Amino acid sequence: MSGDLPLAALQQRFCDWLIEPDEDRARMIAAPMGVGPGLVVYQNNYRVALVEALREIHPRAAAWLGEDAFEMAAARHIDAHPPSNWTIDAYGTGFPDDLRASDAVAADLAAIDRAIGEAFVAADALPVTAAALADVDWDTAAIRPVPSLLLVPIATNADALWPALARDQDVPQATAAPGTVLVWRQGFEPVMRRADPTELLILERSLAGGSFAAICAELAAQSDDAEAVTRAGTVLGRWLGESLVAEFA
Amino acid sequence: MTTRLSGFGLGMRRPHYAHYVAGEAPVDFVEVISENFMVAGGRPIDTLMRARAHYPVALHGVSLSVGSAETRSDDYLDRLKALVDRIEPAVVSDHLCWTGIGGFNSHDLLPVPLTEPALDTVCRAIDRAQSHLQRPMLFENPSSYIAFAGTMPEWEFLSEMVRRTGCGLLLDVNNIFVSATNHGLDPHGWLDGLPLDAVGQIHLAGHSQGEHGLIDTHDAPVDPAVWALYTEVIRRTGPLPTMIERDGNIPALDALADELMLARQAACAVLA
Ligand SMILES: [Fe+2]
Repeated sequence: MSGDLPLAALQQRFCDWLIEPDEDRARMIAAPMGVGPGLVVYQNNYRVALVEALREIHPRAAAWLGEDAFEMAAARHIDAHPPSNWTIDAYGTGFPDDLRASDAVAADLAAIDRAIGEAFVAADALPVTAAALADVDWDTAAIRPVPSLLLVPIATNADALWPALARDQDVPQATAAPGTVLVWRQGFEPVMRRADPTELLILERSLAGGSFAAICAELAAQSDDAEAVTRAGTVLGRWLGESLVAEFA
Repeated sequence: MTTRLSGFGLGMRRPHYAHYVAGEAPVDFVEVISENFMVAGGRPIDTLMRARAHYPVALHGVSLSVGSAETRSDDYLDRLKALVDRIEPAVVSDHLCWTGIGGFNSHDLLPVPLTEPALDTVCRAIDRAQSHLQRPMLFENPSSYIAFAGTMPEWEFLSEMVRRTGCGLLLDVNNIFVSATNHGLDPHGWLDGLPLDAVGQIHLAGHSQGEHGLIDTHDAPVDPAVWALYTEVIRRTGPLPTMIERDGNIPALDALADELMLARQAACAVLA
């Protein structure tokens, strides 16, 4: 009788069995419940939904891996990382890292996939336009990027493979190419591209709260290159054109 | 239960978004999965707001987990409330089920043992959700694949749940058929025990035959036996807002609209 077992204890047993099914656990659940063979339907529903969620969240990584390799990687991840968030859209935060040991390209593609999905539903923000620059106090102003912006470190040229996979085109040869991909949203459309070293530095300093003036001073001091500050201005201009800046704070 | 929903609707799914946004879907209302829109911003919210301009919306949740011995976080209820305030839905619903415990969330609609203690738990959770949202909700009878020994019939549990909390029922006619068939019960007899006055909305969907019984898969047209059961329901209740859920093998919107026509015809036949 299930009435003999407190609800919390019964539910804990059920969850333990979903996470790690074995005959003994199934019997432990079945004994107090008096359940039939339909119990296995819940096991199946649980796993199928998570595999499909991982596929939907990481479509290019799944395409790169192919059906069998993806399903094996998904099954391994589900065994090791039972879901805890209330939304299935958040499932698999560690999936890209899981893939890294066996396939760096798949790991990078998965990380980009995830970031694109997160940017897609990130908070809305009106980007700053070049016209607003006149009112900025450049002595103190710090660049605040749009809230959808994510920095994705990668080890390969996955940023070049991703669009080819997305458009079902011929995929370029995979190579090692460490760097950082910027993912953000223009209007409702997620976009991504590889960051160059100067803009990455400006971005990281800005995200840490550094003023644009201080960043320019750092760039100038860092190199003998008189062009450094000019390059910072060029970067800022590019970002404004790309709807990447939310405000100057 | 009377709601601001009426007529015949469909679950609004991604392949058909453009039709709903343009207001050219032949439906009286749409239903969406709440969690898909409990996000910060971006296109999903915009799509729903645009569809909302043309159709009343039913928000249908899958994660409230009223049957869990562990209470759902305030964060979840806050997000749901924010969505409700934004969309002003005609109906807010979830399921008689639980989804996890101990920080684990299965993302499946797990079966509640239909005991007195579980009834207390469910009613407390419904009270809390309804007072957080400051409105009554509807709760759906699930498809079940196991029956717990020594428990009360589902209709008895639902009746008590409705009586104690003032919530309404989202009657899924396919789920009755699936559960009754799996447990060797008569689906028409099942109706006799239900508090049909409390029904505020009806779901119809397709199921499939699994190895161990029927499975609620939402990937096929509504079964003839479920249509017959639906006709029996509205013969007893009069017309109720009715919709078809389709989540797999999703056909063109026209095909779903044609299927929905069968529900309209059944309602007309009953009224005649
Ligand atoms: Fe349903």
